[in-house]
Amino acid sequence: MKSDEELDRLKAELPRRIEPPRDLWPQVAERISRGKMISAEFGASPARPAWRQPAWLAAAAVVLVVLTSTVTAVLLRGRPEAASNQTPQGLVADFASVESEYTSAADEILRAVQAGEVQLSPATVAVLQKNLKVIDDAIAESREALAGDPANSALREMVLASYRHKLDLLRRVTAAS
Amino acid sequence: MDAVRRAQAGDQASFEGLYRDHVGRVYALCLRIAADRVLAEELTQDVFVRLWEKLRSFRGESAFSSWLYRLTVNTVLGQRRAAGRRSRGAVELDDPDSVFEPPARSPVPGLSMDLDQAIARLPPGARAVFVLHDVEGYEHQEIAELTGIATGTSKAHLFRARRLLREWLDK
Repeated sequence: MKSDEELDRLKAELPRRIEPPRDLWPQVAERISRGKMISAEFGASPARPAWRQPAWLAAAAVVLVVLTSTVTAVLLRGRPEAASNQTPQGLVADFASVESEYTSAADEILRAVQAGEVQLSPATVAVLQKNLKVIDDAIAESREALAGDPANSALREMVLASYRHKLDLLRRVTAAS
Repeated sequence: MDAVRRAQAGDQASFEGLYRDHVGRVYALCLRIAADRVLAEELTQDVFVRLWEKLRSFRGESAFSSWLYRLTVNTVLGQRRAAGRRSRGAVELDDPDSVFEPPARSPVPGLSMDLDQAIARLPPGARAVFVLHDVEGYEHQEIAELTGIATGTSKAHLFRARRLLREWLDK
């Protein structure tokens, strides 16, 4: 068995920083901007967004579907691909892997909601279901576009962004329960 | 500190600078405690959104980086508590005195060192305490306050984590 000294040496060599595999700033900036809009519309404190309010969920869904549809349309008109050394097969495999992780995580939360382990009011459940439908439709729309242009990295990112929205919605709603 | 003051005043470009400066440390902490790349990305986003929301309450009484990393720890542990409630406490209640070895798991993408992969394999409670104490330098008393466990439980988690890591790294 390794000694404590050897373990200490390995710990000292651990990198202090690990860069995320992709730039997370666009999502952070979007969420910050969204928070500003919510605050202005509902008069809520920025430190406590109004995620618990069904009205906010409805507004978020409308914003999301409009944004996704608009961006999908723009991208479908053609956009230069970002430079990449990865093969199309490798990109597709990576995308499938990440998509699978998002789907599993969302399904896990949904199972908890459906099993009654997360206590939500009937009104919130109804609005949540409605919004999930909107997001799932947006995902389906982006997936369909991606099927016709599988090498388009912007479309892949859009699909994953929709999954992130879905997870974000589920986590915030269940955390507020 | 100027960037912090400008960000506190609502300057989003300065806030992006803070993000660029600190995202590596924040993501590393999220990834090591969560042991899940996708969740770590989500948590990292959550941390910076919360940072934006709370930045005005930073008074400069401690180093900005220390304040941010504590916010990170609170965010990650808050997510774990919520996940624990959803799974009826299974995440929070791994037994520090258990003699059973955790099952092997697939390597976590993004973690390159053998020690990091071994940390990711630790049970959640032992992993969180090991990362906070041995990697981030928190005291057991602080860990107890942050996690809501007893100081003795924190020590037991750390003892078990170190024993498992020594065994695994020897193989």
